[in-house]
Amino acid sequence: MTSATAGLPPLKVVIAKPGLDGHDRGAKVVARALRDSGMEVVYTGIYQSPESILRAVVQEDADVLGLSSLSGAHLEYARDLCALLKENDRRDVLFVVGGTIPPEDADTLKGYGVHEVFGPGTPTAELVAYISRNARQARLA
Amino acid sequence: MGRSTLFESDQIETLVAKGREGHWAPLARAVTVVENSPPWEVSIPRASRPCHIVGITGPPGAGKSTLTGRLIESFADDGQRVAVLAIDPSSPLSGGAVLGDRVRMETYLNGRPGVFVRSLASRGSHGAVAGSTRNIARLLELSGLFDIVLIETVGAGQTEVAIVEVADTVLLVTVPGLGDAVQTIKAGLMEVADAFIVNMADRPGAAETARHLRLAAGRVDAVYKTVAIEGTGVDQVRDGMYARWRSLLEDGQLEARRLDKWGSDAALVAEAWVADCAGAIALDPHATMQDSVDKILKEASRRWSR
Repeated sequence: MTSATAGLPPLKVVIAKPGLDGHDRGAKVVARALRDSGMEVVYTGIYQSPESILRAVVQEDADVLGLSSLSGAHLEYARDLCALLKENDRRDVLFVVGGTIPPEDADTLKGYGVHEVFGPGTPTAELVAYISRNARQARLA
Repeated sequence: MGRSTLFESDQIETLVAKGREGHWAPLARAVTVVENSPPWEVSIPRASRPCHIVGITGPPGAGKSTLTGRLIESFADDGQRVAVLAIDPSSPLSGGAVLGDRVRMETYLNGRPGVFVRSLASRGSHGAVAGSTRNIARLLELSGLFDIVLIETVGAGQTEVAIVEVADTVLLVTVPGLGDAVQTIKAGLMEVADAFIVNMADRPGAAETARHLRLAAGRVDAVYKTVAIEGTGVDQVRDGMYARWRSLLEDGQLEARRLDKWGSDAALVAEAWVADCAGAIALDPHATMQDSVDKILKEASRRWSR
C-alpha cells in the first residue's frame, strides 16, 4: 500500500460482463489482480444488461466500473451505461472498458464518457496503477 | 472525543424518501459510511418498527448464495420488501476481496426493483460476518424500507458463530454427506442455528442428514429440505420464517433476544477502542505484563474522555 492510500478504505470496483458474451476469463484475471492490490471487487457474472450493471454500481456504491467485452458490442453497452450513470447521479464513477476493443473505438468510447480503454495484452499492473491513481479523484471531484 | 452520531433524523428521512422512489444511491452511500467508520463513531438509533433479520450461514459451497437468490424471489413475489447483505472474505495478504455473491443472485433481481443487495468484505473480522454488519443491518432496519434483511455469511466453520449476535434467526445451510451423526451434536455453529436447511436434497443421503439433524437439534424449529438451484422447498422455508417471526413478536422473545445483544454491543465497541489505542502506544518490551496493560487501559481511558 502506498502512503497516498494508507488509512483510506479499500476501493470498491464492479467488474461486469454485458450481453451475450460468456467468455469471462479476462474479467476474472482482472478481478483477481485488483483483489491482490487491495481492492474490493464485486463480480456480477456474465450476461448482464446495462440496467443490471447500473443496479450493481448503485447498490454497491462502487468507486469504479470495469466493463469487459469480447463480443464487439462494447459501443452500445458503454453508451447506454454512460447515460444510465448520468441519469442516476453516478457520473462520479471511474468507468473503464477492457477486452477486444479496436483502437479506433477508444475515442468514441471516451466521447460517451468512458475514462479509459484497455485493449488485449494490457499488463494488469498498468490497469491497477491507472485505477489507483484516478479512482478517488473521480469520487471527490 | 473522536465520536459522533452518524445520521441525524433528517438525513435518515432523505434516505428513506429516495429509497421509496427506487433511488438506492443515498442508502448505498450511507451503508458505505457505516462500513468505513470505526464502530465508536457509529450510533444508529433504534428503529420504531423491527424487521426480521435472518442470517444464512453454513460451509462454503453449500449453496448459500443460490438459496439466498431463491429466497429473494420467494419473499419479494409474496409482497415482502427484501434487503440482502452478502459477505465474502477479505484477503489476509492484500486486504482486497472478490465479492462473488451477486453472480448467483442477479437473475432474481431483474424485475424486482424493490430489492436491495449489498456485498461486504469481511475486512479482517473473524466469525464469518464483517465487523460493520450489525450496524449496517440496523441502518437498513431503521430506513423502514424493508420487511426482511437476509445476511449471507462467509462460508463458515464450526466456531464461526458471530452471526448469532446479529440475526434474529439463524438458518444453517448444509448438504448431504458432510459427516456422520456425531457432527450434528458437536458444539459451535450447530448449536446457534434456529433452523436447518439440507440443500441439494436431491442427492443421496439427504433423508439421513435431515434425520440426524432432527434428532440432534431438540431446540430447533425445523429442518427443511431444498434444491435451491431448482427452487424446490424454498417457499416452505419462507413460510417457516413468517411463523418464526410471528412467534418472536408475540411472546416477547425478539425484545429479549435483542436486548441481550445490545448489552454486549458496548463491550465489543470498547474492545475495538482499546485495541485501536494499544496499536498507537509505544510499549516497553521489558516492562511487566501488568504494567503494559495498565498503560494501555489508562491511555485508552484518557483518549476516550478527551
